[in-house]
Amino acid sequence: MEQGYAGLTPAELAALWLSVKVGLWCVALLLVPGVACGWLLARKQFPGKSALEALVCLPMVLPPVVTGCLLLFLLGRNGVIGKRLFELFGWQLAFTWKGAVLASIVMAFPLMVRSVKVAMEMVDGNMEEASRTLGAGPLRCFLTVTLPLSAPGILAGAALAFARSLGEFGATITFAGNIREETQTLPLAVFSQLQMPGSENAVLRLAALSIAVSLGAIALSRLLETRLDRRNRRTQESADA
Amino acid sequence: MLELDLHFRRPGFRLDVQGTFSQPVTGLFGPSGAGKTTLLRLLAGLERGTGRIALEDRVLADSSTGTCTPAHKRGVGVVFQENRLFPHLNVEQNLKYGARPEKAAPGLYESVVHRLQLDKLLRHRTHMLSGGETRCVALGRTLLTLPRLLLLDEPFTGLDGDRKRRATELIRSFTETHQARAFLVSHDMESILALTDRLLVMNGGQVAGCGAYAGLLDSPAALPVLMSAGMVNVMRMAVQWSDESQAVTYCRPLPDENGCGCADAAEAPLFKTPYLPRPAGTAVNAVLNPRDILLTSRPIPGLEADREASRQNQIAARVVRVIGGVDRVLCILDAGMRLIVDVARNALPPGLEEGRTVWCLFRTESLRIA
Repeated sequence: MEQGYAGLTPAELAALWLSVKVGLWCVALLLVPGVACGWLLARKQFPGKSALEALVCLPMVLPPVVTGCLLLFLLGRNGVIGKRLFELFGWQLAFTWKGAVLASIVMAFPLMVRSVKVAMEMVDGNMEEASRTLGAGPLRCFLTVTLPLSAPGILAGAALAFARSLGEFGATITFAGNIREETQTLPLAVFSQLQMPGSENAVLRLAALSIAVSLGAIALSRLLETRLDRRNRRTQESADA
Repeated sequence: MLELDLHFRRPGFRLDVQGTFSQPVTGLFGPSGAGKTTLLRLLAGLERGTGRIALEDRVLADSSTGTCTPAHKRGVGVVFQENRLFPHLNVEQNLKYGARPEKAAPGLYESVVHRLQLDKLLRHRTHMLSGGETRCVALGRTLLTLPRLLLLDEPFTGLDGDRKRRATELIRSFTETHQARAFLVSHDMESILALTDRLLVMNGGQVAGCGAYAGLLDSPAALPVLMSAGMVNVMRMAVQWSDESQAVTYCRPLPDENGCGCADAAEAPLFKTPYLPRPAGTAVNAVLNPRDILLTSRPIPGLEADREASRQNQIAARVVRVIGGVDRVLCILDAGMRLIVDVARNALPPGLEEGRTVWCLFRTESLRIA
């Protein structure tokens, strides 16, 4: 067996790197629509609101394979939208790593939206009123009051989304396939290794890797939260000094 | 000029306010649930009612044309009862949140910070502040947005004497220099009267009275509301001369068309107040608690000469109205200006009736200069 870094094979390293890459892209692309949708559900009344809420939550209750199938029907090479995208721009999502990102986004979206929604519902509406009477328009009020006050919840939502992306299996394998060094993320690599007899060591290594990355993600989000806290405390100390 | 014709309905509550306000500061007074805070919210654009709000030459809301300026474009500043400082910002960032340095006179920020004694607190986070400090930050933050209409909901709660005086002075000078109008909600009549004698008295969502404090004493709708709060006498007076050896300053009420001073300067009695080191002619507000006044049916002769009693005021007045309570009686007197006296029923001089002349006795120390 060819040797990679730290006792991992190049294929395993590729799976690790791909998982992290997909997870980061997923969070990055999810942030704005997730916050917008959470805000919409928390603060606005509009017709079809409960329908939107149900739609957003759907991937959470649907079997992931079904979600993957729906993505294929819509965005596959011959899908309703996917066909147009390929003809017009030459874009192909299915069976590429971008497809894995999209599958992650769809699966993690409900978690992100729910976190943001709860966080924004907790923001004291009185603060927003105060901001308005101080001359802030809706956008400034959102950016300077609602967003900072719900930041910890948004952060938690992002961490959840990243974790969900790392663990995503069903929708990814259906929509993006299990292509080595292209769409084979850590869970898919574990699955592939399990199919091969005599690869218990590789499975264990990959499982350990998954645990390490997940723990790392939790630690990172904790660190960010305490950073926020400590920054607040430091402002106080310098004021007292 | 602020013109209001506002109507607001919600289950179990109805608010109707009509009026024209030409004075810079109007005191908004009434029991809890009278609709004071709702009125402020309607003015600020945080609540939508029907009717019309016109401030100077601008129509802020008019339901007949469908106009309703959103809260952030109204130029209406609110100091909320519960402060509502932003917890994620420090004191300085809170103060500067809505500040408009490009429109403000240079040095306004520094002067507001200094006058509210916030200099040393600028880097503090808001949850570390005392109640009074928090109140001052909320007031300063709103003033710095240069509102044309200032809505103050109990702005003096939690303020100690010195801070309260400073806040009152700041509000007074702000409304004067910026030609701003203000509505001041307070349960404490004295703190309203320190700024204005113009009152809008509300009860159950309706206007119980609107006008000068002294005039409202004659209004059957407004008087019960005013009485429930505990009334005070506030008199605008001018310093005449001082007698430092006796620690007494002599003041005479100023003519005042609103009835808070005297109707005719020549008839105004001379008051003895605690020694005030101010030049003759200085105008001051004197506050006299109606319970600190004794009534006698005959003057006590020789009071002036009596060294022991020389710090007593003895003022003749005509009884205008007597309003009987269970154990206390409220008398409205005319001593050249309106004077409210609140005495125990069993301490009433015999034969007290409307039109009679009585003498009011009160200690010099009872007159507080606000």
